[in-house]
Amino acid sequence: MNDVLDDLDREILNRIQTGVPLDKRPFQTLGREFGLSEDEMLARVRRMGDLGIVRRLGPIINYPAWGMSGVLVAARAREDQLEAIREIIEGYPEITHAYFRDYDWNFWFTVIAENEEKRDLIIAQVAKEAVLEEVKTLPQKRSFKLGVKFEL
Amino acid sequence: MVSDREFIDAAAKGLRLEARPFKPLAESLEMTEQEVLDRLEDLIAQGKVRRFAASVRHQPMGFSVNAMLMVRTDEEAIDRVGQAGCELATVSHCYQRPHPDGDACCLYMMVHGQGDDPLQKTVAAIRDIPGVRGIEVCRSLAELKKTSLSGVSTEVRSEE
Repeated sequence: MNDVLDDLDREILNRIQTGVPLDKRPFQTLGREFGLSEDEMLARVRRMGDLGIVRRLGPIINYPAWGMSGVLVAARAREDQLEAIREIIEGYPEITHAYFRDYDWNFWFTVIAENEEKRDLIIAQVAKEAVLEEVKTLPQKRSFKLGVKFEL
Repeated sequence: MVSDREFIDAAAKGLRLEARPFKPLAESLEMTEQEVLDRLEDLIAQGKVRRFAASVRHQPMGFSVNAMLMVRTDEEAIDRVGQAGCELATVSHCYQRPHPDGDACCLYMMVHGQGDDPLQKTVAAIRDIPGVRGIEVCRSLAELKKTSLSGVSTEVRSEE
């Protein structure tokens, strides 16, 4: 599947995606689970960090519980505007994901902001700057699954 | 006392990969390591933090396909289809949201896998679930951005 990671790396990756032990020496604790020393465990996680596979060890925040408002947006954009749009959304930290897709609605992005008002303002600004032809916000009604982990 | 917001904004920067990774975070907040750990446990118990874990990037791992499926269902079947979709290992996210054309009975499923084969198999498996009316596959042509917010105080951060 991927030569860069060995089986043990993949097992470690699956483990730490579900949680990092909340104790003072988490790599020691993780190491014990896998029969590795603390140094060996740290070296493996660091290496996966250097490779860009592990982006961050941190809190997975439940944004709505902090009063924040996020939404998926579908839009119609001109294909030749891809690079311009990439630059525009770079200026909005509240836009966390953005893709061009092979569909009639070809530009999709997610926005998360402190409240609904600010969120909608950002969508309106982006629509204007990126000259989007049509924009639909698609509020989530229900969540069945929230990307917990991938079996590697 | 450090507020939950200050605390989570600091924690969201991510741990340093060292033997006592909570120590620099504790020092930056003038807290002890134990207080940091207790606060994290508390925020998880309150539901403000889902878990404390690694965030990974899929592309370097060879998750070459990133497709979004829009699955239209019969109204009474939506729960069942949503739950069945979640059970597929290639489906990472599954939400009910309206279709851009306004159809409310629509499930969005994100599929990750290497090559086209897992995607085709996933689509075939979903098509077999009773109550599915149709599936549209939207492959990603270009990823313009994939980040995460670095905390809950966007106002503060955008001023930095």
